[in-house]
Amino acid sequence: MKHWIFFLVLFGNSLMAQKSFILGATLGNEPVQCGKWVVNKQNDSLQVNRCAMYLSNLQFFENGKPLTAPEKPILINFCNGAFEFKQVPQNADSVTFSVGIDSLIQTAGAMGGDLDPVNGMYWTWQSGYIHVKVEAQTSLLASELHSIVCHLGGYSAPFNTNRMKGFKLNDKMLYRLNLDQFLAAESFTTVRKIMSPSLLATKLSDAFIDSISPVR
Amino acid sequence: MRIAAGLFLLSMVMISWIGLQFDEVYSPPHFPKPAYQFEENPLTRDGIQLGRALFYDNLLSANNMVSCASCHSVYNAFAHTDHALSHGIEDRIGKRNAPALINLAWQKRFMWDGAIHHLDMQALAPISHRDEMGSSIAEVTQKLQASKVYPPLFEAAWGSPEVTGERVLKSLSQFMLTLVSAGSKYDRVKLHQAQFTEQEARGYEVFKAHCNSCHTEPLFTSNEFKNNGLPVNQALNDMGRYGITQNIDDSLCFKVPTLRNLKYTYPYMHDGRFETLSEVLRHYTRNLRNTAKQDAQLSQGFPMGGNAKVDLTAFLLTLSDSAFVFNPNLAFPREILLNNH
Repeated sequence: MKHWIFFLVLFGNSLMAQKSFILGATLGNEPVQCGKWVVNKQNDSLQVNRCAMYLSNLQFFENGKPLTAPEKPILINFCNGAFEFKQVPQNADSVTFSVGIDSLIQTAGAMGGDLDPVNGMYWTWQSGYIHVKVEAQTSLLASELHSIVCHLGGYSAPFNTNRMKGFKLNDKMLYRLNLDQFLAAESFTTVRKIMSPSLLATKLSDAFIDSISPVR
Repeated sequence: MRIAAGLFLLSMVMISWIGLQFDEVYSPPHFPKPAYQFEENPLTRDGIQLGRALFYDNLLSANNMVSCASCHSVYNAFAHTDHALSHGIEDRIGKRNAPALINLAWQKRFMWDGAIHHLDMQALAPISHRDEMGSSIAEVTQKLQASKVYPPLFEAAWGSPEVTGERVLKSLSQFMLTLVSAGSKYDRVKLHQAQFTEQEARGYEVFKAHCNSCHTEPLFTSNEFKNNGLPVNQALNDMGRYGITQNIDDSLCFKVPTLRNLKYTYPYMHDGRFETLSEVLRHYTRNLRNTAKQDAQLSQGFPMGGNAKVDLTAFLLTLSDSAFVFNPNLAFPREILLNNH
């Protein structure tokens, strides 16, 4: 719990001033610091070097009725800190969002801003945005470089990796991507390099969205 | 009133110079509706000129030695004839024959395996591939921003000198969309401006009987992916569209290429294994093996006598568009790039 005080100090200042939705990533139960080695509960040393994702269709509701329009895709680079969305309606009681880019945007051609391919979140060998990029090293894996390279993408059946999530809003409105939980996904025990749309990528997308939860 | 009239006249001048209606300027009357969504990237003269400069500029490669035009030469109808396989930086060789960039506005999938689903995103592949240009779109935008040439060109085309990945890709698309080839003898015949010779007319009948289902008029491609019976090249082990879809039915399926300008676009096939049209016709008339994976339309082969082959070849050569190949508006932009880097 003490680590979450640190987390709140880092990312929760604005809670006092205005209503914000905050999503941060944690490793070893602390806010992730890319490039820093962390020892987890299983005594595995982990270092996350890259952690980014597209958050799409962020939308707030009251009693099931939408209070806001779905937001455009936002590129979150957790290596730069937590994501904070400051325009949460005062009376909002729930939120939904998806991780990934929907097929309409995927097939619409070149785009700018967060969707500009210069951000390194677009595959070059085939068309499609990379929805999630997690690159990490661990002391326990027997792979050549003890590394995990996880680039999740794919927008059409049977390898659609878009995933939707919804929460009842609590007072804190603080959410976390638990990287310890995600990197412990069963799929990583056999394959450590996932860089194309595939059945494995869809399973890991399930694991990724399951790793996002409210901070209690 | 005078001000309103002046504004109207000014707007008309602006439209005539800025907005280019693809249908009016580039789309031939006997072609179908283009697939490209022009409303997302309206053509402008400045956008096309910027794209043309980018297309010919070696700056897009990691070592500033290779441009898009290195493998897609105007004199080869935007294909490449020096090598069977594409030739990249540091003399690296890829695993596929550089396809001809022709009539791209009518295509929905790009590359031999259809890996790219939008023309705007196509350039990312060669820019990034280590055996082609070996760079990245992020690196390219930084180099362009730092150059003396490009910020003014971006300002003219996009309203500000800022170089972004989106602008680079859309500008390249604008130029590539103007690579419209519809000035061959075949086209003139279709527009009642010329007539086939007797031999060409006989060849046209052979073509319609045996080739048109895949190399469909008037684009001379169905834009589908087919297994045309070629055995896999063991050195390349290229399984074609299967590599994208992971569907076993797509194994050894490659995009049906256009037959337009094949006079200029040798060698042929996805791996450039055939140097001449004779070799291509020999494959379809004699060498087809009736394998389970081969496209069903090829199951009977193409029994064809020598005269029919000659007639067919005569027809295929009517698809040559010399006006396209020697169009100065598509050639190296000396006025922009020469002595500017």
